[in-house]
Amino acid sequence: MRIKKVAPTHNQDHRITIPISLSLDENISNFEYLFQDCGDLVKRKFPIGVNKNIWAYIAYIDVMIDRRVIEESILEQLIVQVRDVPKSIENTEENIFEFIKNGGIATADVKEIEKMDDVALAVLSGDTVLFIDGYDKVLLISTKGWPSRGITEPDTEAVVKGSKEGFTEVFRFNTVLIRRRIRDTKLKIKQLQVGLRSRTDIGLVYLEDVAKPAIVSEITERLNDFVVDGVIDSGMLEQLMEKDWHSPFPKIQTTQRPDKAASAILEGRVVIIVDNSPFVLLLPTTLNAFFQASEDYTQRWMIMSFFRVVRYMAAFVAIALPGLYIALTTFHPSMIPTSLIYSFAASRQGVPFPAVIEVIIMELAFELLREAGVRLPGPIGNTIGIVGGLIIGQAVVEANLVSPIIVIIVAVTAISSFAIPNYSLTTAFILMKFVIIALSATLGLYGFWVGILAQLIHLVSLKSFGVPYLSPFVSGEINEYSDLKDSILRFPTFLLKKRPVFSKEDNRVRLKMKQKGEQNVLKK
Amino acid sequence: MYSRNDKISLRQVEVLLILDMFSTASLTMPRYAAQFVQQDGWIIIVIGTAIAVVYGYLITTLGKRFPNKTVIEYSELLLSKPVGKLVGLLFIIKFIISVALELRIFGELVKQTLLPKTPIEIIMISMLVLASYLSRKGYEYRGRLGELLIIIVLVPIIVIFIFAFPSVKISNLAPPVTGKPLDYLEGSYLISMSYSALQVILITIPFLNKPKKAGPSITRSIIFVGVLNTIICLITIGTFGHKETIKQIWPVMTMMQVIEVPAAIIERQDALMMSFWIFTVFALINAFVYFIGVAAHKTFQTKDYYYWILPALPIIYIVALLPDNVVETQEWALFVAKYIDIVFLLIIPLVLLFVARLRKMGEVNDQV
Amino acid sequence: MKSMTKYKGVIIAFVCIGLLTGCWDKVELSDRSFIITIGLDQAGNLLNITYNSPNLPVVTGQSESGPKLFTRTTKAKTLYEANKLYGEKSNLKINFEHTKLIIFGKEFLEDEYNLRKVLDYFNRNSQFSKTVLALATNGKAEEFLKLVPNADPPIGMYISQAFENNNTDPVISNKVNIGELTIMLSGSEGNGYIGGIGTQEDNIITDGFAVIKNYSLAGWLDHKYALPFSWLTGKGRGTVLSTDIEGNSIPYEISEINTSMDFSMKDDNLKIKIEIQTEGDVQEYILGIEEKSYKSTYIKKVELALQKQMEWECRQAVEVIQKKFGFDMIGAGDRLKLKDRGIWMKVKDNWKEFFKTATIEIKCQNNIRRIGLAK
Repeated sequence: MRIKKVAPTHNQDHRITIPISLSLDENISNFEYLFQDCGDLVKRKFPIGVNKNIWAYIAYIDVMIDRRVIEESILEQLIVQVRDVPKSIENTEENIFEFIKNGGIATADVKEIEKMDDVALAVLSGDTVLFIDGYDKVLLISTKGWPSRGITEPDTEAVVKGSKEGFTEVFRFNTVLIRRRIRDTKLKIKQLQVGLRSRTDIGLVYLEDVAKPAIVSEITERLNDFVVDGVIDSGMLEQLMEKDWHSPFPKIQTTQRPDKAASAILEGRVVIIVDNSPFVLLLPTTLNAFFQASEDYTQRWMIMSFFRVVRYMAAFVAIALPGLYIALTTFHPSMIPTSLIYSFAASRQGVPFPAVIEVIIMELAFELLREAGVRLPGPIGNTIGIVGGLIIGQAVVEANLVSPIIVIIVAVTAISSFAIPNYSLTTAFILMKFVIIALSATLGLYGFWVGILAQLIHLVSLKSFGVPYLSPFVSGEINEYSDLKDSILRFPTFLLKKRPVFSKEDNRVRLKMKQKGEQNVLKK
Repeated sequence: MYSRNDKISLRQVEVLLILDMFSTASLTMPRYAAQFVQQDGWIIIVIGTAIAVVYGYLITTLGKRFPNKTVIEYSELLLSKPVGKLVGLLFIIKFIISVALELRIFGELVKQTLLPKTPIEIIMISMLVLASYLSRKGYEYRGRLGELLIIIVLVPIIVIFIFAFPSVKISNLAPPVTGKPLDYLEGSYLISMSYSALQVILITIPFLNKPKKAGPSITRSIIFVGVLNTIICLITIGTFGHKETIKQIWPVMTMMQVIEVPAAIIERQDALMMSFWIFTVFALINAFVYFIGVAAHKTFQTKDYYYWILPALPIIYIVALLPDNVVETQEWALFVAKYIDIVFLLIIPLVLLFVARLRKMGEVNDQV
Repeated sequence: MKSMTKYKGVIIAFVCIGLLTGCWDKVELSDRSFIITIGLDQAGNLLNITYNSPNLPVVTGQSESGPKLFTRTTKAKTLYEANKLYGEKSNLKINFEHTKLIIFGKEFLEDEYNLRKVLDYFNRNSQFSKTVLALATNGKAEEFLKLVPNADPPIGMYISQAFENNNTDPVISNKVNIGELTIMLSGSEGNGYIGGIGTQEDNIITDGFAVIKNYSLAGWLDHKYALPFSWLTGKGRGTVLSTDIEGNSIPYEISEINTSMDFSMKDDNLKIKIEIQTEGDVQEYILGIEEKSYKSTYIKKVELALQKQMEWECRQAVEVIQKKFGFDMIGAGDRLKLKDRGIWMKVKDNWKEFFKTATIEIKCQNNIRRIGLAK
């Protein structure tokens, strides 16, 4: 059978070009041509009114809609209730569309659309469309309602004290989660769509008078920098928007926690919500922001300051420890205390590999275990951990293939690297670690410092949407060093009076303390 | 708004200057000081610092007259074009020699203390490449890195010095003031030349975001380095006595070995100390490499400065390998300090200031 | 921007070359032979060097069998050559970065140049720490090192630990490390002292001081002078002074000591007045004299006796130091520098002679503060 050559239905931007005509039947055939072989489409043609001479056509995607809305608010209204309308209206043809829109449908979210492209998009997003004979407009009735896993506790950034809600895959739920936390009309949710085919909803959420307009426009600009067929997750968008592609460090923060997103918005940052992804993007970001966990602000400042210090030290250990071990033991044993160097040396007796190879073998083995464990379902992942970590680790040491010190070093490094609250930063650090190992193995302590220096130069030259990546440790004076209060130490909450560097210069005050005396109302 | 590219804040320039001045010169300074006036080394360091403050004042006074121009540009303006070009050329040559000697001394020191069998070429090239990598990124990034390095360098050094105090014998520093006045004068002159990194301010001024207020920052950084140097000298001579200090090529390095940090997980501090010095030397070499680029860019009026950095590297490297050994390198460095630095620190600024006053050019200082 | 990428390529190429050809200084830990003690002896024209290195698995408790120490000796003209020779004898690379102790034999020290050469080598070589302990033995260092002490760790560690932990011994409190020895020798034209060590029935004991004059051994400051020597230098905290009272020996433990010196010049003759003030406890009396001991008059009496004893002992020591060795071991010059600038300027060029001929007056004052729990 020859395929009939038809006029192209889509233009080069992958938009549907077929117009909506006045004739319902033409519209139906066009529409059904577009949705040919789409088994999940539900459609029905039905008459309205007592005379049954006004025909309408309803279509939606099965299960993506709220059935109750369609049945109660649309079909029952149109098919059953409208029969009782006065005849005069039924006869005046000009009013029929308006009548149905205003009086026929018992739901608030109704729109008129005039393009077939929008019609298709609406249907595919879970809305219902209503074609009416004799009109080149279509009624869009919002009936979105699909199965979702609901709001659950985030599994990546769990806290002991604080909100237990996490973002989900549903765009609208996510905006609600933020909106509930900031009830301000200045909180803008700018909606865009990205992806030629996926038509993914994206929301830029920010406080109009706090976020820098330059950053918002920069983001919009960068979103226009690319045309992609589909955006499946926010991680993909994150990388498409980045400028320094040759850097392992993430320049956009991701989070699964609405409270974190809300506080980021209050700091003047922009949150990007991507439909179908429980991870929202926070930008701009700094290295320091990655070390801030949301629990830092719900617990007492002294304790959390201590943990901040621990986190920063863990980051250093994660990058430096294996390299430092190699540099010190194979190049400068003089720096290690005598009794310690004796046990290091004794534990290395009979080990066939040089220390570098030992470290690299064990590091790779650990990465292998991690990679294997991540992909497997929970219980099996645990088994991998036990078999790999405990049994192989033990056996390798007993077979004298690797000295026990190395196992300790690698384990400490691994634990340290996961003490950093952000996973993408952790992975960046893991990569950097190998650079340091290589340099340390060649040039000892000198090489180690050369490596650290090279990384510092790299970090210093990074910017995330105009904000220096290492701020506030560098260029601190652009915010009069007030950001340092929330860096390695977290100062008491009443001292964090200013918004960080992300926000507009003229709107940086976020906390005003009352004068002394006024404060102690309760005591009086 | 955010700090714009190639404009740096006063704090950043202060920090960079501290790093630049506090480099290998500080490692040998106690030796030179002890050579001149034995146990009174610290006195000439204090005087030398005071002299350096004068140089700093002179240079900033000149700079304030021409807040948007480098020394090369305004000497063209003041003393005709060829003279300006000559000044630019002089600066380039001076910077190349300075950075080459610094690089060589650094290489020798690293080889001696950390990597005795590694070819010195590797050490030098790696440092040079690293320094030029940052130089090409621009002044702003240098300023930012400086802010980080100053913490990494100074905090451990100061902590270690605190532990060094118990080993100081005051009798090694007594009795004060026993030498001839001429020795003090000559010594402090030489010490003041160890602040020769000050000459970069002649080119730095237009990069500052507030060039008119540079004076106090620069004085502050000179005094800060002066205090550090004085403390180092006091500790070194106090620990070793002046006779032993003179014998050591790197008296400060040797002093680090003697320090015992209680309950430390590090047995010996010298290698650790060396690693912090890597950062300051890096800052200095990077500064010189950067300013070679800028000076050449201003002299030959090219499109950008970083075209000059890559071709300069082999020249620096070859000059660095010219001296036969450590002794010769230090003799060269001493020669430069004695007879050449003065031209850039004192003579050129003085002449230019004089001509500027005479011809009433530049913005007149509003003495605030 | 394009040149930027090229530039990065250069860096990467450089790094690769470095990594592929590098590791010039890399020595695996298990390939190092950590020398813990060096013994230096004179054997005819040559130096006889004894090295002690620990048997690591045994020392760290990972293995039970085998000796704790390996001892090797080499003979060569210089220490450097000896170290090279050691390398030929061993499969491991010699390493001095954890050397704890250097022992000089008597004959070694007697040679005029040995000490200067060896100290210079230590100074130049960055492997040696300046804090290596220096000791002298009144015999052969080799024999001393071959002795197995009745203690767990190898001899070098044993001694260095002993010297760190037992500060009450007068020799230990005046211990000298390599750095200090070098400073001492270069500061006073080759004069200095090294703590002495010896053996007694397989036990290691401290043994006075070896006195170096003009870079060679001048003699041995006997152990009985070590105690007063520590008082004279003001380092004798924790030492014990004993005196006889009515036939009973009473020990007095010094808990605080303060030594000061006063100087005066009269007709080119230097007069040094040494004042030693101590505080301390009496540790034991004899039972049955409670009546007497709990009275301040009796305590005064004891204090007087202690003072006489101390003055007498110090006098003896000063006598030996001044007359026999003739150089300023007690650091009078350093104190003079601080105390009296005028006199120092006069005597500094000829300090050795001035010290030799100086009149030294010693005055001690001992204060008993506590007498224990019983009356």
